[in-house]
Amino acid sequence: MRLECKVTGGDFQAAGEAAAKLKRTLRQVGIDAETARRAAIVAYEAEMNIVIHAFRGVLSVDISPERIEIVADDEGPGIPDIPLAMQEGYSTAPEHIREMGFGAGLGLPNMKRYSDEFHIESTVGRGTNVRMVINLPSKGSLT
Amino acid sequence: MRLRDVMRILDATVLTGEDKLDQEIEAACGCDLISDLLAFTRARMLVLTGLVTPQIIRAAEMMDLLGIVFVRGKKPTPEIVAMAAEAGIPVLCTSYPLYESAGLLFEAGLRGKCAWPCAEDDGGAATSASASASPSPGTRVDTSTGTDTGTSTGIGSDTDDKPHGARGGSCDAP
Ligand SMILES: Nc1ncnc2c1ncn2[C@@H]1O[C@H](COP(=O)(O)OP(=O)(O)OP(=O)(O)O)[C@@H](O)[C@H]1O
Ligand SMILES: [Mg+2]
Repeated sequence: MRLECKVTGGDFQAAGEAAAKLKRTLRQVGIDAETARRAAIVAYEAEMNIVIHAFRGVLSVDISPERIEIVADDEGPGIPDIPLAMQEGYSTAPEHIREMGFGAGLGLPNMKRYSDEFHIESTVGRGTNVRMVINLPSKGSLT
Repeated sequence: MRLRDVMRILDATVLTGEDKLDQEIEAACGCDLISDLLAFTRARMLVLTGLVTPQIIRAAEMMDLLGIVFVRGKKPTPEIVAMAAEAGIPVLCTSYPLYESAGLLFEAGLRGKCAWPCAEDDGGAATSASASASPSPGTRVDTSTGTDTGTSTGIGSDTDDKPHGARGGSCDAP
């Protein structure tokens, strides 16, 4: 099963809707609350990074009996120094973004912490691709 | 502690979620930064915040939080309340500042549960080589937000505490 949502940079009104939709879908197909919560958190952080830092992008989710794969692919400025961006507390978010409660520099560390696999690739001037996998309990929660 | 007790202790009004006032709250957290909330809270917690934005509702929904208390007399817009109602998240408003709200609830027995949720169980998680700068798991942020602390008698006083004044450590749950 696949889900795809467009995400628009700077659109704080719709921000978070893709992650919310993903969470509802996961619950509907019978994924347990704790796993759905982890998936929703990483999807939300990835979606917000597109809204805050990039121009536009797509959040897509593939759900199989074994795993949930979440990919956030954007067109944007890219990340020049990924190890630096991964550090807790590092943020380039401007003042008006911080006033909305973002810019703790915890988004990428959160994504890594809550997922079982975390991959990030970025090209300066082109965009960023974040791929995360959350494994499902081996019994297979999908019917 | 039930949400109803929180309401009484903080002399709070309920903007949505009257039907959920008997829910049992396990712990609480004070947060003015969204990512802090996502990093440090667990499901079934109550969050106290001065951050009155639609994003706090969205984040609370993602986190399975049991309720939001807006402090310092801040009033959310009808859109924010509607969003919370749709997400099924009770919203309370108190005029106590953040520090005092947290103190009152703590005194009444409601503790915090501030911890890295996945610190213990994700140690062996596969990560790509490009994401080499691993944050140290198990790190607890300090609680020195420096916000609200000076308003010991100021019920309803709105200290102009900017959330970013607490970079990297605004999870002030006890
Ligand atoms: N999709 C992206 N495009 C361009 N730059 C990005 C992107 N995602 C992250 N970054 C860069 O990496 C930094 C760290 O990202 P991270 O998500 O950890 O923190 P933040 O978004 O600044 O704050 P927070 O997520 O805590 O609200 C950002 O400040 C930004 O410079
Ligand atoms: Mg971020």
